Amino acid sequence: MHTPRVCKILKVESEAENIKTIYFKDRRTSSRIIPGQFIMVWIPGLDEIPMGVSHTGLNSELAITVEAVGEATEKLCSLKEGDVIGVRGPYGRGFSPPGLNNLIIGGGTGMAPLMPLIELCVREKINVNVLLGGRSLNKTPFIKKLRDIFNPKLECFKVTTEDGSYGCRGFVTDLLDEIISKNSFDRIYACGPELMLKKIYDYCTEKKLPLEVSLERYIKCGIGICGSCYIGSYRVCADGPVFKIAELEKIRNILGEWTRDSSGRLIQL
Amino acid sequence: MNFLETALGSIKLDNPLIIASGVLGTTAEGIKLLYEKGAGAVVTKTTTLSSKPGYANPTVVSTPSGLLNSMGLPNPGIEEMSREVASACCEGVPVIGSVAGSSISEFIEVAKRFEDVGVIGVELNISCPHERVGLIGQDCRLTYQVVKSVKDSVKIPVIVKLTPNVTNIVEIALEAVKAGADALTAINTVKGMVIDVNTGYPILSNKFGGLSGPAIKPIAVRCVYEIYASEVKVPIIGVGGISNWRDALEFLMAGACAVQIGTSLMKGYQVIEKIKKGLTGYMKKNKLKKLNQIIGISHKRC
Repeated sequence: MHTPRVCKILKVESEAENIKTIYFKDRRTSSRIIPGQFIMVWIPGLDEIPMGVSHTGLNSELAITVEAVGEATEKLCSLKEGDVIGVRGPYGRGFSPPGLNNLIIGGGTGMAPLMPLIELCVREKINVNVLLGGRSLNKTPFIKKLRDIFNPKLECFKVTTEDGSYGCRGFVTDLLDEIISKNSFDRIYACGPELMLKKIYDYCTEKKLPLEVSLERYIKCGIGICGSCYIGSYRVCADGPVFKIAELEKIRNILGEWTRDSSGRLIQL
Repeated sequence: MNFLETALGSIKLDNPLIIASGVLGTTAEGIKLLYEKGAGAVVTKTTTLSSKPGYANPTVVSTPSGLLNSMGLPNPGIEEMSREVASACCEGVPVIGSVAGSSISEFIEVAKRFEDVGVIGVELNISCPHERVGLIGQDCRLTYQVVKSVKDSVKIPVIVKLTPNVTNIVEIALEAVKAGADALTAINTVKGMVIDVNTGYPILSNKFGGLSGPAIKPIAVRCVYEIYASEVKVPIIGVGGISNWRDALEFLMAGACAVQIGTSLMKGYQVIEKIKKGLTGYMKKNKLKKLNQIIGISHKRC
């Protein structure tokens, strides 16, 4: 069950600078996955890393979106159609089902695990507002995909870039006040750099908003037994990666402050 | 009335379910939670003097009825681990420090640091099948030397975890006891390998790993039974493939005073309370008052 299933890569798309979206088929994952859950992706002979699923399509089609930041992700980004990867999962706890009016906030590739949730909302015609933050136009994934999905007249999709090369200049968190004051959301979902999540957490705590965030830690087993991904007493791989605002209360001193490396040593974020 | 109290020599436990080393015992909050969920004691992740990142992933792969792992003893080093453990010990959690090292002096140093922060005992990991320390537990002379050296350096009980990857486990058990071991844990995982036939690659980055889970239970029960039947008279902790109360009972009947669980926690923390409830039910149904009445009874049945 927790053995990698080898899959052929069907297609590789360039998503942004150093960011690729890799398509493959895995029936076990596609038939079970809930948006926000993750899979362990095996690169034979090199490594195995946790990845959010960034697309769930017809006929068991799935995709992951990878930014080349280390040896394993560089190798993944260099793979071509016909090459193979192994996958096991899906693992962890995903996002709650969307409410009537939803806000989705993604930072960079942190938008990846939120994409299936947006796809679901669009497919089911559920109201969804999306904020996407990135460093610049070239370095921000999903801009084109989201523009294609959304009707520009509805103004429900906004982008911020740090250099102002696309959308508003600044951070996604700068837009929180405006969008939240104009709407009433049943659910707010966020994923991205932990400092961004911490800001959103603090904001939503103050305003008592129903937030869920997806967190990242060093994951080894993926099945809740090795203890490498603890954040407080939560195992990110099994109790998360998605946590609700009430659960985040217990780890608010760790959030955005501390993580652990491969050995389990505490590292300042 | 608590039907499940047990003792490992001078160590008294509220119940015989101990969390095995390598499983979740990496941080103070993780250890505390396992105790809150009902464990009798918690063994830490094996700790060395300096931090170790462990092997690259994949470090875990499942097999029919088992789990093969080759973590490579990742740990933050005794400095940081002792802080985590101290915090759990301060709140009264019975913690056993799992110790390894690449030299005798490292074993001694790590064991002493654990003793300083208030653990109830140390468990010497001389049996990990995917690390060099595992070679110690396959050699009588090395086993004696390591156990004796640690025993001479600490006052708390010294437990020795044995490997099944030997011709005669009793021989090693006797050597550990001769060196002063206060209790024995049997068994560590069984050395194994998994190859992906689509690509030909061994799946674990370290190629070989240790097999745990239901697949190894009969091996573990046999080892406990053999040690109990020998001249070894120290308490035995049985471990290997326990996932329900009947499994735990089997180990007690073979001669274990306590048991450890690891792989079965994959199904959730509730497995701890389920096993305790099952054992208590068994004791009541058979009008038994103490675990002593069942420990080793299989030896009287032949």
